[in-house]
Amino acid sequence: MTLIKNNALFKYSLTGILGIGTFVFWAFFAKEVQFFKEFFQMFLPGYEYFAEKISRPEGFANYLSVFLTQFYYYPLLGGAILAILAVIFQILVNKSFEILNVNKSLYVLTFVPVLLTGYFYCKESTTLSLPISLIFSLLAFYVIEKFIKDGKAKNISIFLILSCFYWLFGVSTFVAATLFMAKHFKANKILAISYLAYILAFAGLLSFFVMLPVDTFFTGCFYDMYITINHEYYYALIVSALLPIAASFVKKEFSEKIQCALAIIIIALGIFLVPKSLTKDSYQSLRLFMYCYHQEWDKIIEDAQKHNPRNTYGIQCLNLALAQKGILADSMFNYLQPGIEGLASEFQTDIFSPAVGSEVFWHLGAVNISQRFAFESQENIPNFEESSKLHLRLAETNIMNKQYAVASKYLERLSKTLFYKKTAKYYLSLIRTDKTLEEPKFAEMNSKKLERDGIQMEVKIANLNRDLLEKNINNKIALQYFQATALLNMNYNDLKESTTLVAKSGGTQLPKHVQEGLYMFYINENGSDQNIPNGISDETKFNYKNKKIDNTYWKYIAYKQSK
Amino acid sequence: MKRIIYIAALFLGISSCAPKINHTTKIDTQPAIWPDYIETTIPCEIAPMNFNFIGHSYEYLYLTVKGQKGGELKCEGKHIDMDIDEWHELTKQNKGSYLEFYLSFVSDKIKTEFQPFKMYVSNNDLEEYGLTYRRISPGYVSYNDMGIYIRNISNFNEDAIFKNITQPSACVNCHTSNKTDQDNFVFHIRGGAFGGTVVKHNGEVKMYNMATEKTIGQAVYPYWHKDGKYVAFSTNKTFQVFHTSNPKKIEVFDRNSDLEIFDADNGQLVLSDEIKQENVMETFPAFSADGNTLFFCETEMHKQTYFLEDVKYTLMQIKFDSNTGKTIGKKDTLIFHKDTSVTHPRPSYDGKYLMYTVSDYGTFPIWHKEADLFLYNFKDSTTRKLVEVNSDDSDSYHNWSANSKWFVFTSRRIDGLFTRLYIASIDDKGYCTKPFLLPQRNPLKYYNDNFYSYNTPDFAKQKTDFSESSMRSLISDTIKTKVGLQ
Repeated sequence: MTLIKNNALFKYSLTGILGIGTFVFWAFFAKEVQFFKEFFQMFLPGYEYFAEKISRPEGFANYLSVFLTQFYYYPLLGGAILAILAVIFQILVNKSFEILNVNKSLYVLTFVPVLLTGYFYCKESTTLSLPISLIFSLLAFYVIEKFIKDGKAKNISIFLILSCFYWLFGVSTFVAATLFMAKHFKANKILAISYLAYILAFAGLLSFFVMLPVDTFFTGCFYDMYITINHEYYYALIVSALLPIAASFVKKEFSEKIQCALAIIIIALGIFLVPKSLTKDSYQSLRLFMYCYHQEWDKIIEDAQKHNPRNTYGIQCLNLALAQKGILADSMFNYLQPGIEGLASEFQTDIFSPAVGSEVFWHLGAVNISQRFAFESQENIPNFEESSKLHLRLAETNIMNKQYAVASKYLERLSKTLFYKKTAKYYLSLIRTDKTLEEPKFAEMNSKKLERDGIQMEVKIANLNRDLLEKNINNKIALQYFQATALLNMNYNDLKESTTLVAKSGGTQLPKHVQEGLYMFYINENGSDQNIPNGISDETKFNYKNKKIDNTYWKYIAYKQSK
Repeated sequence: MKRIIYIAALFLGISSCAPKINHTTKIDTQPAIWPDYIETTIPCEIAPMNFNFIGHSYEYLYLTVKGQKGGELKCEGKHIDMDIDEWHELTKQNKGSYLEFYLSFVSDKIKTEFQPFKMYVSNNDLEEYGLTYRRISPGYVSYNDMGIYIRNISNFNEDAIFKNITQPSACVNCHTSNKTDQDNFVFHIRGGAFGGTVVKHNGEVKMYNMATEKTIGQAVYPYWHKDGKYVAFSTNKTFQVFHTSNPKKIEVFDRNSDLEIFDADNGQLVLSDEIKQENVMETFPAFSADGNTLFFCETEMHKQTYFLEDVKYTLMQIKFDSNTGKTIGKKDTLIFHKDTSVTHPRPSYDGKYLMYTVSDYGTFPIWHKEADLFLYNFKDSTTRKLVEVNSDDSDSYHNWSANSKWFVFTSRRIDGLFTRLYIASIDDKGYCTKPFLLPQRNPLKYYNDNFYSYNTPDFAKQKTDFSESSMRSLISDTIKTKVGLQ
């Protein structure tokens, strides 16, 4: 209570909690969302890129959004940026409360628009354009009301700033127009209404001249990656505009107890509600993909042991991690397996699944398929952005295919970026000196890169792995994927073939699940395990006979058959 | 304060000026420039043939262009960006003659002068406003930012006819006008509920649903009849497959295709049995200059498993009745290449030649490195490979200027992936001049920064009045005119 009595300290403390909480959340608990947002964008310095962005409504917000999002490359930096934005946002909401003479005891409500915007921003597809444009909209309201005296000059300024800000920041300008309307309603109703009417008419007029989908002039365009589909964020705009107005009607001073309770509720909402915009499974699949991209295989397995992944793409990352650790065919059935799509899925027209697929095929050595999936993923980015990370993969795959002119083209572009230029310049130097194979990454890939050409309409992973093993029998990932494919497809012949491949690759022991598969198929075919070839351990035989099927291939089969 | 401003202005002025030169030297070679415009032949209306000097690091460039018949143009700076009006004055003055380019560069206060090189200004004008083309990333299934554009050939202005940001997920292709006349054109738009074939005919624009119960599906490759009444279309069941290792990446092929004639006056399809045969795949229609013959490519339709490498197309011809829109009589073979596939026939509008593409197999030469342009001469029925035009990479889709003195084609010769536009002229004996890359203000920067391929280029007699906003209204009108059947 003492805190609340000291009004300034109370305010600063809550704002401080917001800043620190935002930083901690993004820097430590939502790194994967930052990773996703950074993955599907590429900021290019220079006039052309700026001019292209600024040439359409909302373009400046879009430009700033992509500029700031590039810093998510380092999650701590991303967390700091988001914390600063959250604090500025809340301060500006408070300023609009003050301008509209909102009862000071309702201070804690100034956090609601920030938290709501944060809630929507946690969705992987929402862009930073949303909070940025809201901040600028509130800033316009604050600056004009604070620094320009009522009169002609102010009216002209309002109309001018609304027009300019609509072009620069898009539909969030409706928030400023609504606040201007509320502020001046008592003094001059017609003029006040004309602020909002004007900006709506301005948006409508622009829609005739600027070639964007018509509805986006009223719903927003680049606040979400899915330009014409996801408009849930509109609630953040509505609340930012209407909450200060609604609060201005509340004249009753609330007691310190109520203020304290409200503060606790708001903090609780911030902690529990904001991260709920993504489901646990979605967060996990983003996280596993982030680890996969950074080749942090142990972290994937550790994460999966805490929470069994259910999302197909998360499972693909897990299976790749298991293969990288050499234990795919020993432990894959300790986890949920959806079937063959848990290894690698067919191409889907979205951004995430081909991005994951590109990683899987790259590590297998299927360079062309990895390239195709990387390209498709980039082409599917719905807000017409490009991706630095996918550019890098396209460059790498072109290097492996000795398409150096094309690789250089991608790398030249990447060398203009802030965080990829070092790698790009290094790769370019390798190309120029014809020393690409001196880079261990490329040398390793060259040893396993698929050589036999075939044409496919869809990826046939069993055949693909066979071809990869024909090129290099020591391609451990391909061998494990071959075994896993045989198991998931219940293909006894391929499973038997895998024993020969294990021997050829110098292996002495069959993986646990392969033993389970061979033993089960042999008994099913022969009725007993008499004369079963060597390689099946006594433990496997014992477990089968005693129906100890936890974490075994047999449980997977039983589950499949029951379905 | 004023003094500070003057000093700053002086400083800025000095810093943007040419560097000091202590010494001038001459060398006996011609400069290494990009694009390689040396000894090219250009139409006098072409935009300034700016180029980049790539032979040496430098601080500054000087260029003097002298016309053999007179006139001079000077240009200097970090890169060559010639004044458009001065350039045109010079090219007009030197029609039928040549321009000499004197280039020198400054590095470490030493000015080095090269031997001049030439560009020839053709006697034949291009007589076109510009070019239309589609820009799209060269890829597989997905596409992001794409559009159809019209580029003024005399300067560097480019306008969008349609960009798919207007309608995300829309795909546009095959923009084809009638002998470069933008008052009659056709293109397709695909994607969800708004797909259809846009036909601009005698000033009126309509979007048609070209699928009927008697045809394979939507219309695909178009070609206008000279009278502007008919458009010959192919209708194709097209598939894509992907190479797992070959740098070729993609094969696009048909499992079935036929030809159909669209009567633009009546909004009806005219079907003829001879170009719609059950066991034959017919595609790439094109009318002869007099409108009395229909050319097309065909191959046997395989019903069993087959190798794509075995699919070879032959160029056929059949008489066409421009009163009824029907074919007359039997088709016969015009061009057959043993062991290779003939695609994209484009007869010149003066009736002298037919240019086509030859690749090892299939119907989609853009992904075939070996694809080359060939020229058939109607006068003596001979055909030859255009060695003076082709490159080691894919050279394919081409179109003639309305006066048939120039042609534009796409080539992947720069990097093997991104198709760029090249223009060349043809003389009375059927020989072509060295092709030149479509000029840009700063070509090296432009093409390096450009991640799009240029598809289906064609000349445009005039700027189209069909704009993005007309396109948007068309798309929003989801009720398409259903094509009729005659």
